[in-house]
Amino acid sequence: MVDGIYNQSYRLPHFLVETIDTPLPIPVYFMRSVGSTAAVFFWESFISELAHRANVDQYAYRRNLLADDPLALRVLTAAADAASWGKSNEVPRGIAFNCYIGRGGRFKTYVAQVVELKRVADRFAVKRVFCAVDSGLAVNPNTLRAQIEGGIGFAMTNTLKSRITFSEGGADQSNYFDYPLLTIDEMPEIVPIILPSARPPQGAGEVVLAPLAPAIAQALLKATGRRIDVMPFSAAAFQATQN
Amino acid sequence: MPVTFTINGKAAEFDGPEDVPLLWVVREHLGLTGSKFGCGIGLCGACTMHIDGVAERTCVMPVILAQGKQITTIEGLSPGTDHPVQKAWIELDVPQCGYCQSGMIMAVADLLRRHPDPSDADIDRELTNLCRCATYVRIRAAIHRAAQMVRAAGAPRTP
Repeated sequence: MVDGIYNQSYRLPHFLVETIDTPLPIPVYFMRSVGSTAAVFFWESFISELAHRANVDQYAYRRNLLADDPLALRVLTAAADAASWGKSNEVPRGIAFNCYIGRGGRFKTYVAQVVELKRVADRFAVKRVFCAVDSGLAVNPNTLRAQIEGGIGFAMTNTLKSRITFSEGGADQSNYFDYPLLTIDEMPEIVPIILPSARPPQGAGEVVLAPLAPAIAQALLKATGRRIDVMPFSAAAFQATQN
Repeated sequence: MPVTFTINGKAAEFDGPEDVPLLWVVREHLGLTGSKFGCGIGLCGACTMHIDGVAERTCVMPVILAQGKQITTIEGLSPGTDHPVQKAWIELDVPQCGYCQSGMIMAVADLLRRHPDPSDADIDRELTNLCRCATYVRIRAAIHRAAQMVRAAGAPRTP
């Protein structure tokens, strides 16, 4: 539930994480990236909000918080540099970071993403995602690239679609006509950046999902002035003009 | 009367209800399990086969509509897994879990027949098959690669 939050890479002098079990009438189980999709959406959005209020650049704000963690700083810098962060303000961008820690601390994979939006008619679309990953030694970089591409596509579906509602004792959705998946025309261009590492191979299957939604939300705030704090994002969140 | 058709170049027949979906007949009766059942309502495309050379979603196609037709499944797309689409798929390591990929390959083979040199806009408009692993980046790259192979080989081949 608090995956990706309780064990922080950010340098925070005063930090407390508490969680409570909430009884749910709906049986739930693991999905790809486990708790981190929800937890990191909250957490990175909170960091974005702090940076926004401090009127500090999102990348610079995170750099400062990661100053004591060279591996974390390295992935963040790699994603920002690949995306030429700060070079142009024409494209709405968002940046987010997560250190994915495997259950029981079994592995540590660092991920940073920069999302770019593109305006198409009166809407914004996710155009390109730069994704830097340090998952230790990449034994098969081709497979790791595939996980980065597919994981971001999966996270796109989680962020933009995957809405389940319940009524009269069951889910309202039943098939792809009311529970659509991402289609090829909605898939952003992906720029994977695999960082060289002498660490033993770490996990890579679920690690790229969590930073995507907060990075998109941050870019949308820049583009539309509207803050998004609920997943999945509504179609209205991508409207260029305020209704 | 049994429904008769040709599948992957061989005569076949099905003696059963006319409204059984073709996918069931091909998988359960003929034992060709490369084509997959996904959504059952013609939305995902995992069941795509060629009917007289045209990609169709066979989970919603009553077998009677196959009467007298030439059917091609993934098993019969090429003699040695060497259709340009298959070669491009292997070269670029497209599949992840693989479940949608035979339908995807059949849909793309038909797309290339209609658009030998597809633009990204053509692909966006025409390819509606779903991939839960979101292998779309490589699917797009492999479509362009397959089109390039076909051009390099001269005349476009028809499956």
